[in-house]
Amino acid sequence: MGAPTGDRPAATTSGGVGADRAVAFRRLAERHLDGSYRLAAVILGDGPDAQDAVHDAFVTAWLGFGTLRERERFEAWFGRILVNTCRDRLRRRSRWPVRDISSMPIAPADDPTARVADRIVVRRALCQLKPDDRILLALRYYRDLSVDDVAAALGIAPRAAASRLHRALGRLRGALDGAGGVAS
Amino acid sequence: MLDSELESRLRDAQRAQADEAEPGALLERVLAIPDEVEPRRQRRLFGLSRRPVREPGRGPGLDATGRKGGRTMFSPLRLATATAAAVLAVYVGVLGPGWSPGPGPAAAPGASAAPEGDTHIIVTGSGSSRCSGAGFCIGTWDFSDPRLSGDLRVEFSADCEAEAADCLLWGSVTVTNEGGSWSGDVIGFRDDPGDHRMTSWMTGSGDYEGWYFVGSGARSDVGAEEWRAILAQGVLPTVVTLGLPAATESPAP
Repeated sequence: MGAPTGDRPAATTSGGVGADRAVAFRRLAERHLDGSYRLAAVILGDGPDAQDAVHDAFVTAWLGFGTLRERERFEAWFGRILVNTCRDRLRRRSRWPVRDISSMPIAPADDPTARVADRIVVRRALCQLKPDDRILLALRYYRDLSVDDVAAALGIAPRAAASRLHRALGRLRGALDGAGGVAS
Repeated sequence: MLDSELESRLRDAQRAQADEAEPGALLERVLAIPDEVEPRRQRRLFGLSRRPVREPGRGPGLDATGRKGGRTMFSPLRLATATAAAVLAVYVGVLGPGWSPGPGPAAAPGASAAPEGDTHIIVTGSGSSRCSGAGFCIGTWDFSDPRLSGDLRVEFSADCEAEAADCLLWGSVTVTNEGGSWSGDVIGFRDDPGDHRMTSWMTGSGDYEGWYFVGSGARSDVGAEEWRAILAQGVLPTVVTLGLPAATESPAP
């Protein structure tokens, strides 16, 4: 149970009150924004949507900033907010989103065409997965987190994270097989 | 396809996607957040202003006397009736005459005006827990609003159909984290395949004093329990405090 609020001094570990808190928040936001945005882009599979998701996550973080006792925990704390925000957005989308691959960036001249085509195939397969699967795969294979760190990020047991990752990979494999496997 | 090949393709596709993403004016938008959130709301949330908690306006059908005293005589019929009445009363209390979902005061006519600023937040989250046969569950809650994320404990009773998994479930729930805790009641049901649906209402303490939570969650046979709820400032309306049987009570034969 938390301590009575009447005896609790105003939070100072996150930079103090008022303007100091805003300064501290902005510093943390600048430090973590780029990495957070790119993770959101991978999870959501859409840059503009990721911008909105990251902005929403930072608003939530700002509203709860006073509850963060140790600034060093901001990354993990905000990471969970961001993951939840992305999960909510994915759930609001249609189950089988139609993606306009004609808007995909044109491959640079030195990028093998087959690799670019395969990325499109993989991304389309990822779009078919459930939000939790996409989040797991992004944390494990984009962020390169260990299974234990993925578990910590999601607040689940390592064993549960391992089994869910295994199932998520299986579902991705199934989605790729359904799409013809490897891009020709 | 080997796992290593699949993992390699996955990493490549994800990293390319991350590299292609353009943040645009996102940094400017985020840096403006402290200026855009109302200062009054910030003071209220962080306890810098000790405004007294206001009683919510009384809406149609609400009882001003609070939780009923004594223990309710327990029988399946009475409990089923009470459950239906609880669900209906909560629904009516939110959407009854005089409450407008549009602009304007959210309170019923004649009631006190709601505090200025946005004091009602829709939140979503998921929970995972393990339950013992002795009637308690422990786990975690992970919500879009971090104030609701934390360690979960539920003490419950069940009234089940013999030899089947269709059950009425009810009990007390607590969620705790660094800032404080939430505690209250939960009621719902579980059906034979293992789906279950719950409704819960809780009041905050610690940093969350003066806030309450009302929400519902559902879970299919496997996976996390998904919740959608409202987090609001004020006192939990009395319509949801029904004097449910204590979690240790057994159903009458």
